[in-house]
Amino acid sequence: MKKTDTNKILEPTVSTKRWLLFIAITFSIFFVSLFLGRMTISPETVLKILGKNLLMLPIEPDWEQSIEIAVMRIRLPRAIIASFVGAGLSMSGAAFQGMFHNPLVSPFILGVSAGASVGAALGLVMEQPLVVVQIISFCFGILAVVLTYFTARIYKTTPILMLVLAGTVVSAFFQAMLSLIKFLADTEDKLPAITFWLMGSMGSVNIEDLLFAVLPMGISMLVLFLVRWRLNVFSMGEQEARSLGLNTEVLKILIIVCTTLITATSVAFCGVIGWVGLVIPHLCRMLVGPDHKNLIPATFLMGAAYLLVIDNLCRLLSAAEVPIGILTAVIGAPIFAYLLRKTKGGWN
Amino acid sequence: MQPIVSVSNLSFAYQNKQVLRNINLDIYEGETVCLLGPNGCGKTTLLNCIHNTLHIQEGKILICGRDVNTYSVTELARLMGYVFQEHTAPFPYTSLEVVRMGRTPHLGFFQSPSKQDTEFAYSIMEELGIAHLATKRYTNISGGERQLVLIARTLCQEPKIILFDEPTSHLDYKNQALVLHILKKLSQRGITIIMTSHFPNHVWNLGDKVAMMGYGGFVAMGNVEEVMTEENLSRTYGIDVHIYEVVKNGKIERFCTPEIGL
Repeated sequence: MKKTDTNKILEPTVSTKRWLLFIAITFSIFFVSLFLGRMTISPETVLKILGKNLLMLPIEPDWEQSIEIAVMRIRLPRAIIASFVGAGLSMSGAAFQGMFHNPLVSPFILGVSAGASVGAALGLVMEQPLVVVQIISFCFGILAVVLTYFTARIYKTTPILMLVLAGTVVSAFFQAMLSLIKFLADTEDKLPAITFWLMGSMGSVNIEDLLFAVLPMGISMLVLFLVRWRLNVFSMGEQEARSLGLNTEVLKILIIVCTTLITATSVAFCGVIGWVGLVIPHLCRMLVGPDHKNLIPATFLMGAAYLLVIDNLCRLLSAAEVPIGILTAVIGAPIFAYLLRKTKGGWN
Repeated sequence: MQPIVSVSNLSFAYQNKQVLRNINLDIYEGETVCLLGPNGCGKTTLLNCIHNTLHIQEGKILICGRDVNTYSVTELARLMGYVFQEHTAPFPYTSLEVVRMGRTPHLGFFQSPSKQDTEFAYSIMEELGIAHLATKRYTNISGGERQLVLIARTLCQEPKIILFDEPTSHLDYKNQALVLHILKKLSQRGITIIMTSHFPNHVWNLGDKVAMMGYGGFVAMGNVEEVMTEENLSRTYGIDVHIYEVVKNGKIERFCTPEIGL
């Protein structure tokens, strides 16, 4: 009698059915993204093309070659990168919000986006090819976070408050550098190029460098997933977490490294995509509760679904593609306002 | 017998403010030690030094005969728990989840608690009589209940030593008694308890040993019967304190009150 009683209490707060629903939603949106576009391709054809190319099924093509190229070389990579960036930014946001125990923390708090923007602007001003721009951008994103980390470090520890303050300082510095580069850039072609790049796009990723984006993000997300329970302990405060036997400095470095890899990669490939890392963790806390054990996988699924939807809107709303950074803010801000009012600004 | 906690010649200063001077203290396994003293005399600082949260400048602290500095965070958490006084919960976790966090030192870095860990956490909540709180949000329960949840969490670490920083502050009369009762039960289980308190009366209920602190060092230290005198209490707090004895049901009960001059 007593045993069943215990089991009922110990049951996970989110049922398997609910998880399956989340997974189904994310995967259907992913699939829909493949046949939506300026050129609508029937779901059946998309399935056949995927079967032929991914599973090596012996399917006779009854479609034009250009359709296959559109699906395999444009839409599929784009859907993959959109879901990884959405999932990665959301997970990073959730991890940082837990670590800093502050609801207004975004994954860019340590200055990664400001740094990566400067790197990209430099690359564009110097008329480098896209790959080089991406590499410089990635490196500058990492550099900014390293600067933040060592600015915050005192007596072998990096207190959370110091990290936030140092992140603000480093961000402000790199923002100023960015303004300087924009000010000096040629207003005919380079300034617009920088401006457009910063507004973000999923379109610049081709299938060849997909792996370079997906690999660091995938590994980092896996690590965040593995330490998700420790985020609960960490969120009780540093001193308490240490008294519970958690090596907070190690976990802090691990989380910072993972989130930095995710955010620097996403900014380098897709520009600055704001609000996702702020909105999705809040939304997921409403759906599955505050326990990071559920929250982290939920942000993965919902983040991917959300950015796929936004990217589809970018492609479909007008003939000229709307930069994704604009839409995430235009849609994200009202959603966030709604969530804040609904939860009354609290966490409960 | 070797003391489980041994503090020798400990001195500690925050920047240029000397707080602890030449502290010596030996605590043996199973003892309950109360630290009394006025605000700001360094009771919490001493606990934090023993817990290795603060790094001491002079002297030595041995836990089970080993320098406290040589323990890893995880090793220390298996040996020693700490129930903090100041505490804010950022997220509305369930109480069971909070208790389960006590399993951290027994888990690998990438591990989450297993079903056994959860059952263990629940059994400790049952033992402390707070099983009904298991599914309640930790942020929505009362201060007294929260204190019990934190004690349960510390027990989940299975420590030999537990440090309490003013375990009965902010609690109402009944909850104070409840917490004292639980501390007594822990002591009977053989757990060594080091606690700070602002209630000298609690010392008679609980303590084996008492250390009275003034600014900088101990005023008196030793067994409760010897040290809890009017003179020592008066010196510690800098006011006149009277001790009364009453015989109730054939047992001598002691209590003290300060003299409030007008």
